[in-house]
Parts: sequence; structure tokens; C-alpha cells
Amino acid sequence: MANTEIAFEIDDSKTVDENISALSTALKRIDDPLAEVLSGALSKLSLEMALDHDALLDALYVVTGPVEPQQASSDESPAR
Amino acid sequence: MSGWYLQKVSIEGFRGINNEGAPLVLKLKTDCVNSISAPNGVGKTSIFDAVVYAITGRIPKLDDLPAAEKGSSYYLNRFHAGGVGTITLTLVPVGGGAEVDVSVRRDAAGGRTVTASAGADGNAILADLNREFVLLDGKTFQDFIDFAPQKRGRSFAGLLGLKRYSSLRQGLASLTNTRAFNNHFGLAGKEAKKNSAAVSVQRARANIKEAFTALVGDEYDPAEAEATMLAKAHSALSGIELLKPLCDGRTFEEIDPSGCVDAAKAAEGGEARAELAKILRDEARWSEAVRAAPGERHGKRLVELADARDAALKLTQGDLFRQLYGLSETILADDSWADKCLCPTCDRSGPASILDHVRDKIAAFEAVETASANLVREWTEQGWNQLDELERLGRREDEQAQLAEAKGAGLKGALEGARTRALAEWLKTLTERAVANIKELTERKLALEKSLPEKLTAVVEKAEAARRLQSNLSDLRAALREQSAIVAELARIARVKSFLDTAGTCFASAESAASARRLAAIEPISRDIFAAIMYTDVVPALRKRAGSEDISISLAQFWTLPDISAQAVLSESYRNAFAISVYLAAASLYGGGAKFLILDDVTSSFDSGHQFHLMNVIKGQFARPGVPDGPQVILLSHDTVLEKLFNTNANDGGWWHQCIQGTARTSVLPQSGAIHKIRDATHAFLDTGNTDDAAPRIRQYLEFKLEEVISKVGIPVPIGIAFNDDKHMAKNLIDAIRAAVDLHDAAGRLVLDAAQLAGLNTSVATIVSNYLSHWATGQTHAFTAPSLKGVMQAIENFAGCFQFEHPAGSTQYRYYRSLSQRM
Repeated sequence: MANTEIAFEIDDSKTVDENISALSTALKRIDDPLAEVLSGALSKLSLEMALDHDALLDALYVVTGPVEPQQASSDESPAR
Repeated sequence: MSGWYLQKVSIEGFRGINNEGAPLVLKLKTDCVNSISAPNGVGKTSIFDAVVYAITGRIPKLDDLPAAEKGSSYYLNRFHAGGVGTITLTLVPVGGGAEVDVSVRRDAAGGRTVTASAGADGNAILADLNREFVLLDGKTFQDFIDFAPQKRGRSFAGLLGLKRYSSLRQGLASLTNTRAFNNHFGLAGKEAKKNSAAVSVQRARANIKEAFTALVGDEYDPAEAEATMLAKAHSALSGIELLKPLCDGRTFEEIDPSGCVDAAKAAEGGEARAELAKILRDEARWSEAVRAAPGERHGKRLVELADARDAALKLTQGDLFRQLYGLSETILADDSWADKCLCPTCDRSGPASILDHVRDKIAAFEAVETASANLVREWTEQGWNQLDELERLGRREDEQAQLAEAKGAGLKGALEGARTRALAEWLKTLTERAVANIKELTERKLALEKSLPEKLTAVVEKAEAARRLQSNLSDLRAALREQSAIVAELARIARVKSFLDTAGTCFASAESAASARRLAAIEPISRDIFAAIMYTDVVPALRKRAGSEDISISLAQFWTLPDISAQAVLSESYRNAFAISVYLAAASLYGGGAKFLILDDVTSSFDSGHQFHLMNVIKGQFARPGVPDGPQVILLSHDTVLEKLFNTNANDGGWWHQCIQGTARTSVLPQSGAIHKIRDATHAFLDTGNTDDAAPRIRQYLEFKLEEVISKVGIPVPIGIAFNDDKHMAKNLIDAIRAAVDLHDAAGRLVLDAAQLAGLNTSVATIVSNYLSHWATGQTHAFTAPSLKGVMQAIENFAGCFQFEHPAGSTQYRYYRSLSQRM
């Protein structure tokens, strides 16, 4: 995690989806792996589509783990 | 330019529109301002509801009814035998192209089906149309003024074209909500686990220090490398000649302490040596257990924290009440609950704010949570949950394992003051027993040591010290592994939280800036519109606090006063004008897929002058065709004065006006201005004995004919007639005509002949006695088809009294030029 602050502004000349895409890019500068996971949910959140918050938080947690492809487990979850 | 115009709305079986087998079809003009008039109760708002449902999938005023009212069962028309409601919107692309039908069907079970013309995605089109300013009614405007700033800001985000951004902002805020986030990751449990691991590490290190010193004879240096420490320990054992064969070729941790003791036992002493070894082990076990025990001062601290929690708990009434207060706060804090002193559970009102009271109660629950968290921290940090060994050693068979039994409650922070006192006492007892036991073991050890050769006694002691060192080294490594794992886990969770917080804060700031920017663009336009409607020195203002979702409204100028509260001083009409100005300004700048607006009775708080101004704004400053790129506006109104204005505008072009008539029980039909259609339809209803549908059409036909007489013959009408409601309109018009006739008759200037004058009296008598007297009082059950047929004939006869045959013998009749002039 390199940065803790980013500069992001909504560009009125762009569509909502383009601005969300720009937000994703900006978030990658804070934490690339986490931004990768969150990016997939941003559009859904903006459309108020049903989103499993627990699953999203778990997915975010998983990518913070050490990069060990052979040990990576999709079952890994920090929740009780 | 993209978007959709609304060309036609077709409705059957929905709300107040039955129309079984023959849907109500409202044809609209995309290049006109469209107005639709209807008396109260005919189905005007049902049209609005139908379009609301088609576009949004719900009708909030029904869904928000109390459960007992079963609001969902009122979507469909109760008289429709099919039990299905169908709404079809015919849309035309703004940029040109084929029209698209999007049909929405609701069945009796509440199921919703959307279909569209071939090749079109009905749901996508409806989602594109679903914008806040498409369907506006009086409540929308009232809410805009009355909402709290945050709710107004969220509601208004859609108008600014920022709905998705606002939703995303709220979604991110929901993800970063600290309480929900901590609950999801079980942070409280993980913190307790971290504390326990730290206590285990601390204890193991203390025991290592003691065992190392006993074995090696030197002070233990924690900074020393483990390998060096192990080498010293190995050397201390292997340096004993007796034990050398058991140590050679083995690391320190591979040496078997029991083998060493056995070797010493075999060398000398037998049972006594074995007993000494056992005493040493017991002494070490008791010593380690008693070292782990929190001191008396920690016992007092635990009791204090538990007492503090008890005190906080006393101010609450259990979890059920917490739920009650939580729900009450939700209800009371909502803007729809206007009286904050009215209790939502008992409907009683008091002088003080119930909301404040409920929040005080909730604060008490939060104090309990804080006290519980403090208790958990003390419990785990001081290792109260790790005293199993001491309790196992010190407890007698008939005594309860109080510490073990309190573990669960301790980890939840749910220990009462009395129980912690008992636990502290119990720990004191266990400690005293441990100290006594250690003392006894030490005495026995010394006695045995005196009876055994000194050298071998030291061997056994070192072997036992080696055992303790090995065991605690193992414990230390396990505790460090656990500590490392939990710290890493917490760091990963903190990384997620920090990332989400940054993402949420960054986006909130961007959304807020965009909202402020767009709001600033709206303000001057809304001020122009407001000025054009109200014509006063009142200037509305919109404000957005940097970084927040709130939008505040105020008056930049109220006559000579600057910066005045809009809610406090504006009358209903001004509030309505404020909201309309803002909505129209927003719609003109940030239109979405829907290039049309439907306004349902939005002028009811206006007098006729302001209604006139608003219509001029819509016509000249906002809507098509006056503003070619503007939206198509569809106005629904029951207002008879406005209806006259609609009729006037319709004559000027660019305006399309139609009336609807009917009942929820049978059918609602448009009457597009062709009076003969109304007449023919009325006769058709009367031929089938249907007086319910005929009666309102007779009113419409009668008013038309009376206005026709007044207009053609030039009869003066008092201005007050225009402001009466529709029930008395016809009677007032007849009275005006009669007064003019009587005046001309008295002056000897009346052009009507004697037969016409007599016929006039007869017709009026029939119309009044058989129709208007019942209609005006709502006694419509008194109507019969034959009597109403007589009324229709009387209306024709009445108009005929003001006509003459021209040319003579032609059977062509025309109106007199005036009451005193034939031509």
C-alpha cells in the first residue's frame, strides 16, 4: 500500500461508467490488488444492485494475503 | 440528442381505470405541451400512478401504507374481472426512428412482467426513463422543501444527474461503516486472541528465564541469540559426567530430561531420588501457575470495571428495549414523523422531544458496550482466561472451577461485579494455596536434598530445569506463532479498512464537489423561473456544504431582508414555486433518457394569476415547442380555471388539450374536444341504462352548450363564475344567461320571440330539476336514463331558443348576434 490519498474528480464531460472507471484507476494507486476487487463492485453499488457485502469484504481480505499461488485458498475468510 | 418522447399511454385494469376490454388510450403530441383535464375522482391520478408504476415498478403511497391496509392489493382495478393491470407506454426516440411499445403487466399476485416491441429491451428503456423529474406531483415539491438537508441532498442527486454517484457514495459508506465492518471481521474476538497470545509469550519468557537460570547458573539475557542460549543450556547438562552419554549427538531440545533423572536415580538413591524429581516438577508447575496469576491490584481493577458496566447496565432495560429504541429512533428521526414529541408506540404526545429521550436511552446502551469492551480488554490482557493450570492444581474436588466457568462471560465482557469479586477472592484463595504448596514442596525438597548426596541432587534439579526450559521454549514458539498470525491477520484487515476509508472519503469529496458545481449551475436558472412565476423581490438560494451530502435551502433575499429561512417564512404557494423552479431548472440542464415530464396537479396551491405565470414559463421558457430542445410536458389537472387556460392555449398552437371522463367502475375515456362525441357517447350510455357514465358527460355537454350560447350571443358573465367549482359552474352560467335575458326583456329589447322565451323557461326547469339539483349535491343515484334523455333534449332546446332559421325555410339555424340583434 503505497499511498493513502489520491486526487479524483468527477469529470462532467464523461459518462458515469467512465468516471467510475477513472475512480478504479485512481484507487489502484492506493492499493492495486484491493482496487482490482472493489472495481468490480463499484458499478453495482452505483446502480443499487443487490450486492453481498460479506462476500465482497471477504474477497478484499483474501487479496491482502501473501502471494503464494500454490497455497492460495478460495475458502480463506477472516470472518468468524 | 438521445432520449424518448411519450407518444401514447394505454391503461387497462390499473388503479381507478377499469376499461375492461377497451383500454384508456391517451394520445399525446411530442411537439406540444399536453394538458389533460378531469374532474375529481375520474382517474387523472390513476394515469399518473400507472406511469409511475410502469417506470419505477412501485407506487410508494400504496407500498408505504400500514400493513393492515394491504396497499399492494390496490394496484389493480377492483372492478376488472381479469385481475390484471396492463400499462403500455408508446415512446418515440428523440433523434428519430421507429416508435417502441413498452408494456408492463401486473398480476393479482403482484408479479410484474415487462415486454417491448421486437428488438427493444423494455427493462433497459424503463431504467433509462427512471429519473426523479419525470413524474412530479405536489408531494414531491412539498418533500423537497420539508426534507432534512441530507435527505434533500440524496433525493436531489438524481435531479443533478448524480443519482448513481450518490448511490455509490452511500454504498461505499455502508462498506466502511465501522460497526458493520468490525462485526464482519469479528475484530473484538481477534483483539482478545491477540491479547491472550501476548500474555502467553510473556509467561513463557518469564518461565524460560527462571529455568535457564536454574540450569545454567547465569542470568538469562533476552537479547542473546537463541542458538547461544541453547548451546549454554546443552553445555550445562552435557558438562555433567553422568549425563554426558545422554547429551552427546543430541541438540538441547532432543535431550530427554526424564532419562537424565533416571540416570541420577540409577546412580544413587532409588525412590528418594525419584521423589525429589517429582517434588521439583510439582514445585515448578505450581510456581509457573502462580506466576501467571494477575496480582491483587488487577483483581481490584477487574471488579471496578465490572461495577462500572453494572452501573451502565442499570440504565438500560435489556436487548428487547434496545431494539425498541432503535426502531423508535428510525421512525422519529424520519422527516415524515413531524411531531417529535408524539410517541410512535402509544400515540401520546408530551411536552418534551421523544426523539431526544430515545437517543438518551440508546446512549446508555452504548455506554454498556464501551464498559463491556473495557472489561474484555482487562480480562484478556491480564490473562484471566488463561488460569486453567492454577485452578486445576489449586481446586478441591467439591469446589467449582469458577475461573474456567467464567471464561465465556469474560470474553464477552459480560461479568457482573459480584461475580468478579467472587473470582478475585477465588484467585486469592488459589494463590494462597499455591504459595502454601510451594512452601511445603520446598521444605520437602530441602529435607530430601539433605538426605541425598549433594552432587546427584544438583543433577536432578538441572534435569528438571532442562525439562522446564524445553517445555517453555516450545510454549513460547507456539505463542509467538499464534501472535504473529493474529497480528498479520489484523494488519490485513486494517489494510482493507484503510483502503475502503480512503476510497469512500475520496469519492465522497468528488461527488460533493460535482454536486456543488451542478447546483451552482441550476441556481440562476431556478431564480429566473421563480421570478417569472412569482414576480416578487424574493430570491431563492441553494447551498451545499463542502464534502457533505446536505443541500440547504434558504432565501438570499426576502424583500429587503437577506439570508432568511425558506421553511420559516414562505407560504405554501411560494414553497411550491421554489420547488418547481428548482426541479424545472434541474430538468432543463440534466435531463436523462426521458425527454418528457408529467406534472400532476402541481398548481393546486397557486391562485389563477400564478397558475397563468407558471403555464407561461412552461410554454415559453421550458418545454417544447417553445424551447425546441426542451422536454415534452404533460400536465394533469382537475382545476376548472386551469382548464379554461388550457383551452385558450390550445387555440394558439403548440398546445394539445384533452379531457377525460368516466368512473373507476366502468371506464375512463378521453374527450378530445369534439363535443358531438360527448353527446353521442352520452346517448349511447343512456340507451343502455348506464347513468353513472352518462351523468358526468351531460355536465360536460351542458357546460359546452351554455358557454357556446354565451360566446355566440355575447352575454356578459360575472368574473366570479370562473372561480367556482365544477359542480356549480353550469347553474351559474344559466343564471347569468337568465339575468341577461330578463334585463333585455324588461327593456323591451329582447330578440327572442315569445315561444323561445317560454321554451327557455321550460328547458331550464327540466335541466335544473332533473339534473343540476342532483348533480350539484352529489345525489346521482336519483338519475334515471329516461329523465337524463329528457335533460339532453332540454339542453338542445335551450340552445335552440337563441337561434333562428336563416335563410328562412332553409332549416339552417344560426345564433342571434346578440340578445337585442337578430343579425
